[in-house]
Amino acid sequence: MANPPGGMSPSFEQKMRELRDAYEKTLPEKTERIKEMWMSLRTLQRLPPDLLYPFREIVHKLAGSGATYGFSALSSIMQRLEHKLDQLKEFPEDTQRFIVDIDSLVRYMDSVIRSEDAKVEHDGLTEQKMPRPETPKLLFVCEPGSPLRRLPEQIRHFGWDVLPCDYAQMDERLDLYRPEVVLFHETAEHACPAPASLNLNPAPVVFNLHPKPDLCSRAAAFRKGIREVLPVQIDVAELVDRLDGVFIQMADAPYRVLIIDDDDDVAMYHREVLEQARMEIRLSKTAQEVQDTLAEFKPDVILMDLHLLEFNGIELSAAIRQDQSLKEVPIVFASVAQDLTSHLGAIRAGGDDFLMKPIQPSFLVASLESRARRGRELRELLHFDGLTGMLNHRTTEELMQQAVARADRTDGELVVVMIDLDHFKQVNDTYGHVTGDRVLVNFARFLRGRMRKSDVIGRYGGEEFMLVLVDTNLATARAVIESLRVSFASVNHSNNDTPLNVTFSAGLAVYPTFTTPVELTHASDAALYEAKHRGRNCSVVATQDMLKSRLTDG
Amino acid sequence: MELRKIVYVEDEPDIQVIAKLALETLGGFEVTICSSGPEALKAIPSLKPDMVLLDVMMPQMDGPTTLQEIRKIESCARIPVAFMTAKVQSAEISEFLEIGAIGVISKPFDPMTLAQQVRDLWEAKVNG
Repeated sequence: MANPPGGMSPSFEQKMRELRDAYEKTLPEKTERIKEMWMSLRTLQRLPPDLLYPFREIVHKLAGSGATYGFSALSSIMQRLEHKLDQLKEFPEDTQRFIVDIDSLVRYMDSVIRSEDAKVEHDGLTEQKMPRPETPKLLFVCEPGSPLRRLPEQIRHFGWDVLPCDYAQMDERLDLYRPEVVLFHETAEHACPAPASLNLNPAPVVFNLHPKPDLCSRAAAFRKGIREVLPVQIDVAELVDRLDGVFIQMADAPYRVLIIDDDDDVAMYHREVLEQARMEIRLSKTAQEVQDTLAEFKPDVILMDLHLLEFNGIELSAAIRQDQSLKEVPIVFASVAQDLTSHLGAIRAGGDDFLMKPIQPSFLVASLESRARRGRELRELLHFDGLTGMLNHRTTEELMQQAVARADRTDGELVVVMIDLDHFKQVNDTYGHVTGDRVLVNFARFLRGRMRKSDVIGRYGGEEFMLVLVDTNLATARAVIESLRVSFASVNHSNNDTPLNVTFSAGLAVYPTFTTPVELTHASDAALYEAKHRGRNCSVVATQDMLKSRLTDG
Repeated sequence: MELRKIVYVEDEPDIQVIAKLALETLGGFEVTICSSGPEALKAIPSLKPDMVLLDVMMPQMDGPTTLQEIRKIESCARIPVAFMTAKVQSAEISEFLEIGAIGVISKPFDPMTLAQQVRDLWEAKVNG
């Protein structure tokens, strides 16, 4: 991080930028070549080292030049690819597994190149995960008369598209249907194939449903590159959880760090170190910049220099903490030793932490990572419901208020939906609380699989839920809720032979028919009441009359 | 003595341009790029550089072999040579030093600091 002698000359910066732009333009061609080479190599099934050598060479070069030009995400993918190729040489018996791994890395490379910014890590993509398509496709391969034949229908309720087929049809279906995931029911006659040997390139993620998984079958499956071996008796919701694990989830997002420092060199250096560790970084120098950044970037941890231009770090952190939504964000101060001794009291009083400058890169990464993790866990506890993982009551209301404020500003539309599971007390009384809890968890999974990312999904009370569908008109909202209602009613929550189905009732209130958050809440609640009154398992749209009579009834 | 003329042997064009820019603009050196070991062996005797930078992994003739060949040319036997490599494990570094390199610069290098790194190595050897 030493500075160049005599400072940075502007012409150097300029030329550097030009070189970098020119290099960036060559990247699609370079990565395309890697992709093509890999596509033809992988069809060989056996990968002799002498054929791999030229491929490895190109990968190695891109790893090096990418890092030199500052394309760290791409470079790190190439390094991992190179590492896989080296391992492949060492463990040839695991070739099929490595093919799957390299497939994902190549796919990952592709998505990084296509995205606007190949320079930094983003979206928490890893080689093992991909972005979730709107409706993921699952090919379910089993015997024609299999007792599992009802499984596809159940999985569909959780937002998957499922195509069942028998063993003989598999190759043809793979080619036509191009699923992201294959679920294979293994029997004595039909062993689960290696993903790399399937008629699909790149290989899909393969799960094996096995009558009796044990360590041996799992190790053998791992060698073949199969993602997981699951017992045939697995609960549908649990199975869907594993299937969804193929895609990027919120918890996988990189840690977000806000660096507040008015020394550019130090800030850039810290940024570089942390970006290499796959964290997402924003830099701010002044209070105004901090405010602007915090408006759109919610950090998991803040790294702040103690000495800043207008306000010192302690003042600024006190100000940040007064914002309700940032109360729990850990703040780490960086400073030289003598400052820390004199300010230790103040720092500790704020519950913050400090690091002594200069900070070793590995130490910086380790300390910020652990604090970011803690910050995120704390935030989850504060904002999410422990059982269902949905937003909790308070956070749901906060987000609903924000959404209404946004609709106000932009003349937008939104619909608030209040949902209550029907006869839930009976479920608890008849089947016990464990089953009742399972229904709640299933409902949460069900909604997550079917709703858009931008929608707010919260647990409002025991078996009561609130949805906020943003930028949605009433007709669309009704159609969505009706399809959810019909679909959820056919989900089987039982894990024995007696089926257990649960229905729900819903009340919808639309903005701007009702204009304030309080009105929207009351109106949707009144409509829900009306739905219950009409015999449950239906949805009702709130009117002014319903709201009035509900308010007068108390 | 002052470090002025550098020969950089590197087969990757992307790295060539950025290294040349960094060394010339920030270091003020006069830089000649060679794309292979054999090319360097032809150029070095007449250029008489103050220092040679050698990529380790090159097709045809790798860095260490190129160094040994340079040493065989009498007029070039004493030119300081440093390696550029992505493999910076201590075993490899000591191996490189054993065959006569004055130091190792790790790849990927930072274009901002490359010139200074090169200068530091050279000064430690020549004036240190």
